[in-house]
Amino acid sequence: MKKYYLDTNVVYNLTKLSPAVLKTSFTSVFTMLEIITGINETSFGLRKSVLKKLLDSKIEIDFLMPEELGFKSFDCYNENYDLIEERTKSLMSLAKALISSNSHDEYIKTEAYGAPMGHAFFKDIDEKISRDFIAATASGTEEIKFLIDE
Amino acid sequence: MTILGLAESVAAAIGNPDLDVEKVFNSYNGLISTYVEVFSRYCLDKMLHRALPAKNDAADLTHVRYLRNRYIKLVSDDAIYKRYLRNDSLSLAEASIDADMELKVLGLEDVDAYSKLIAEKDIIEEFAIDPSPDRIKASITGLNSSPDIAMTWGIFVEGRLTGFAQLCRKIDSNKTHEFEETDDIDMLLDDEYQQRIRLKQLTVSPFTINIAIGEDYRGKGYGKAATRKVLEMASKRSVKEVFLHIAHYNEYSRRMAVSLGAELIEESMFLNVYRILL
Repeated sequence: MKKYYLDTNVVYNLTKLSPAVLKTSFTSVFTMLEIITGINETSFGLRKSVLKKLLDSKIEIDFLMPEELGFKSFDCYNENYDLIEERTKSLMSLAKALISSNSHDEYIKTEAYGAPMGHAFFKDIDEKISRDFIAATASGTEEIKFLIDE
Repeated sequence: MTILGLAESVAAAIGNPDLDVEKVFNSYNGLISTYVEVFSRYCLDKMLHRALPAKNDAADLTHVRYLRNRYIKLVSDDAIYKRYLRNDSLSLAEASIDADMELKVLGLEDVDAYSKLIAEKDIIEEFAIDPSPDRIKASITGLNSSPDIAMTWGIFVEGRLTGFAQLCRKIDSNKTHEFEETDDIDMLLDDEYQQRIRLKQLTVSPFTINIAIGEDYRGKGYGKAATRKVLEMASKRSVKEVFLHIAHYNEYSRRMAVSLGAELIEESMFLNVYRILL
């Protein structure tokens, strides 16, 4: 049974973790998404190396997207809908394209980078999570304020 | 409110007029309960301090969804988790200690190691354990049957006994008299009455934690890791609060307790009492 979840910053430091931690750890597709979408010319080498080490490490990856976890938290959704997830496959193709590229220039010329579910698509997901989060925080704090004022 | 917010976004994504927000809300199954707790705490904190979300907060809290509703620790050196996920997050260094260490009920095979451990001067002084071999054997086999001790575990690091941890419940005999006081001897001897007294004692008696670490292993984070594991086990047994008694001079234990979310609730001449809410 997995005991530890590794966030993105820790995945950057996998070599600092003991084997006992590594064998009972997992991370998520969201970590992969963060590593890939933050890539630019300067960070290409580091991010490529981190991603390669993660995939080589055989650390288990939870492939559910964050909003899917939100959907699955409601039984009325689970009972009535089947989620067909196509994004994971595309993200893995993007990861493979990144790892096999020798430079940022080479990466942005790959088929996976420019695909409909390519780099821009996932960058938009990452940014949307931030936008939604700020909106949800603002609405949440307003609701709490309203309750306290009442 | 966090659940309501999630329900609103799910209802909007489904876009089915027959499936309104209330229906979605009522079908919440608790899958991401850790996230719901953490996000609620975060919003409350931001509101009280009139603070705005920091740039990476969204991503940091999104990771919490993956803990779902299980006993999983999030490993990160990010300060946001220490603030909002204190009992379920570990730094990189803490994770290695946590993984190397386990708590196990002591058995007869541990008699020699346990004898050596409790013969250490500090441990004898603190716990007043009789170090004679017969008493040790008897106490190991009976350690978990004492009415004052809820559970005792050996602290093992890479298979070596390095200390022990206790989750204790001190039965205060005075409490008996607070409960339906009677002089009626028949009533006092009645099994059902005694059972009710026992249940009352269990309800009112607070839990405390005792940790002893062998001198070779002190200052390496094992005390904190063991305390965290005992808190986790207490939480699994539906314990809501535990107390730590810490000597005035013990600055290391004080800092450790505070870092686990303990608050000072009572000061006395020798010992301070800290409480941790679970």
